[in-house]
Amino acid sequence: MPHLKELNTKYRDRGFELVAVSAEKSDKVEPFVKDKAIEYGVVLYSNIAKDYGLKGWPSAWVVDPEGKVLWAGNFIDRVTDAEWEAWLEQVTPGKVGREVAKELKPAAKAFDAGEVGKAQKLAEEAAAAATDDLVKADADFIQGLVEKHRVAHQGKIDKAGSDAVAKAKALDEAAAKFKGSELGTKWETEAKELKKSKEYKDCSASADELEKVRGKLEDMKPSNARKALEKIAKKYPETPAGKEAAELAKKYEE
Amino acid sequence: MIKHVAVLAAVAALFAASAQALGVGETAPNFKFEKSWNTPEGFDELDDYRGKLVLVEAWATW
Repeated sequence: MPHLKELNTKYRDRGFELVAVSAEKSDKVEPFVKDKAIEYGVVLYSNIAKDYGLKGWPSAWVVDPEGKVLWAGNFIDRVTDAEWEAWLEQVTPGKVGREVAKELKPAAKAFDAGEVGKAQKLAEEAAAAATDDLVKADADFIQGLVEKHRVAHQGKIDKAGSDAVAKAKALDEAAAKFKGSELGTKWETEAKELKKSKEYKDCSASADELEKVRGKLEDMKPSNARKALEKIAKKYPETPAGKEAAELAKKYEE
Repeated sequence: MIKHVAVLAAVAALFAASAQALGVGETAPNFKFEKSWNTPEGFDELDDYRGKLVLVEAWATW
């Protein structure tokens, strides 16, 4: 499903999550997820058709942060970029969207330009220097917007779990957005240290090797495919790609 | 006559289906994942996604 992949890539750092629900058996879905190297969330729930009053496959629902349905239909690729932007604005606003006291103008300008870390720092400084409650309220408002972005990025970093490559990528993206703040520096350091670790090097090398083999699997004799996959699995028993290779190798057992 | 009954039944079936279908403004029913891949750590039901914008897509491999 190329459009799901596209949506995931485009909006994943903005508090967007994809839940692709299948009512099929795990042994039907798992190969699909692995073989196509799907990165978005895929789940099994056998009662989805009944619970959601399904009218044909595929069916889709866009659900807001409070759990309310914003959109329902069969063709999610017909939703326009403008509609997505309007919905995402609720989760991780891209613009301050209101007038602020002159003390907060620089922070608002930075925020509107996508420099969230810089905005955070400027809002903090303005709040510390403020004697006026209105100025304080505006600083709080901008810090609230920044917080939504922090939560979205932290979620992305946590989601990567033990996948060091995915985690480094999420940390890089978060650090870029929060450049100029303490948090941005912290994430940048974490990314640098992670990339120096053996864990990361193994994770990255095993993913590369698996990618190479994956492209050739169909042209290989099953016994050779199994051997190639088992080699990766044995060399990198702890990495996600190594574990995936072990799983894939089972398919070529007979 | 049989034709008319069939058409009526089809229309009624459509109505029944659309009456149950989850629509805009309603709360998305929670469900526990029987299995999951690539979901955030510790997320095992739809309600764990509160605070995010979520696309729930019912799909099939066929």
